[in-house]
Amino acid sequence: MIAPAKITVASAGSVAIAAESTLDPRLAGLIEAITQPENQGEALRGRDYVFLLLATVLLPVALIIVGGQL
Amino acid sequence: VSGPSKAAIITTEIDDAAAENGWPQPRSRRGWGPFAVFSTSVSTAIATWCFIIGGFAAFYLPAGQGTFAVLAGSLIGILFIVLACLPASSKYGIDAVSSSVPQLGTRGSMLAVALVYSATIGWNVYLFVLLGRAVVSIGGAFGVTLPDWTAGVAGALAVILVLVLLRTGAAAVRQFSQMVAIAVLVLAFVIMGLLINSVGFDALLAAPAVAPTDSVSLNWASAMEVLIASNLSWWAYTGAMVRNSPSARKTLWPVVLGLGLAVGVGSLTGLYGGLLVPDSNGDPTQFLVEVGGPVFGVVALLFIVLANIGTAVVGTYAATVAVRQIPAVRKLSWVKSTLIGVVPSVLLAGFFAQTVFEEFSVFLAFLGIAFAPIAGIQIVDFLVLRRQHYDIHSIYLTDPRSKYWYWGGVNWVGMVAFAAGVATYLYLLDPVTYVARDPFQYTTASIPTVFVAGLVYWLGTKLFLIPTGRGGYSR
Repeated sequence: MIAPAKITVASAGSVAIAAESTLDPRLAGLIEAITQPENQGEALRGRDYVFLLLATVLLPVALIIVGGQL
Repeated sequence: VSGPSKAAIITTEIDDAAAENGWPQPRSRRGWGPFAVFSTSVSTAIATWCFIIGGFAAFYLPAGQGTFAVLAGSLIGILFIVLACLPASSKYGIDAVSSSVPQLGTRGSMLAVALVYSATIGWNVYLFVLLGRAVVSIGGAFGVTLPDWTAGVAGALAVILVLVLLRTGAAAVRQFSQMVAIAVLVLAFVIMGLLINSVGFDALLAAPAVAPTDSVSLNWASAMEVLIASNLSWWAYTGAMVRNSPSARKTLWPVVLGLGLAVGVGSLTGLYGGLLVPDSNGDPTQFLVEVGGPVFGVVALLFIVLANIGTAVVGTYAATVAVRQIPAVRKLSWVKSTLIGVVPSVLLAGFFAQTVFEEFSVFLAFLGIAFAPIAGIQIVDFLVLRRQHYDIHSIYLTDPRSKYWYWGGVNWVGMVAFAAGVATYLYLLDPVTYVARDPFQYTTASIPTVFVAGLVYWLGTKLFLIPTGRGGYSR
């Protein structure tokens, strides 16, 4: 399911971007939208990186140590 | 068309254009939840190529150690892909090629297109080759000894069938890819059970590695390198998936588990098969009839044929989308574009099937050579140098007004860093002979390649780009 669009297709700003850059107006509108923080994806937090490193660095090291003793 | 309906049509057109052209996806347009990312990840990563990935690990390690090495390698490989792709693609809703523009330049990003095209074509060729070998084995199950060239002909015919499917019903076939992936995973566990049942668990654990070296650490590093390099190739796909989700936090574990660990788990069957049937290289088409009986064997082989066609349709679609990012190709019709995606497959799978199968290690090394440097460069650039900020407007501008124009559209610092990564890999591991140099046995080849490419990019940016005001870096 795609969420309903909240951005407009041809706002004044997007037209301005399109005019100055010769970008497709649809692309210009998307670029204008994505530069707004509320339209950007939620970023990873510090603890996400910690858990990622635990799973992809510490766990493999543990697997190597345990496997090496077989 | 009424106002609201017209608005809906325009919205749909923008969604389609954004998807096909790699345009940024605002958060409100992203509808994928964690399960959608996970299932798509699994369907991308899990295919019959997992069998020969695990089969390659069987050259170096027995079942017990190999199991740990395969799982460890798969997790390490996906770390670099997560760090390189997930933060930027999730933040801005852009794909891998678009996110490489800030590091390679507006024209230099064609290198990323070439890498994506080569990797997707390469994986496809192995699907077609395995399909051809399955057809020969089906003949064998009925007591018919098919000539060697049958595998090539079957592979080539499959390529043509994929081309027809892409013309008429690509969207429908793509929808089956998740079911195919689940079925392949189930098949992998069934084959694993049959193998263990046929010889016993003790015999599996006692089976020696097929062609180990004298060095224990070198065997470990070689087996892990296979999985790290394989998972690095998901660079081509990860951005395209996570850009559809509104949250990087919700895609993190689906990607780690669905793209990373899933390949490791799927490869275990190939590892065990390669150990118990050494001549198979982990390819179950060579022993399915023997261990499962003629009825199960033929049904499973037929399934492999169909599954590989389904996976290849998706892969060929991805290769076509990649190559259509080249302006000259984009002017061609979709059908002509798909020809660019399948012609190499016809030639390689049709005429050089056996050679291609025997040189799988070279392809795996290519994946490390291609994607380890670019991952290292992107990690350093987005997370360290740019502090998680791109100028999105400049990514899509293709003239000197773009901050990512650098020198004629090419960032030579990025190119040198990429070359330094390639040189590092080639020094550590010869991709043809697989002869390794120190300290490969302690580091593998891909891990140092990530670090060297990232370090060279960081130095080049500090020494050349920032002082000359290129690249949009803050001083």
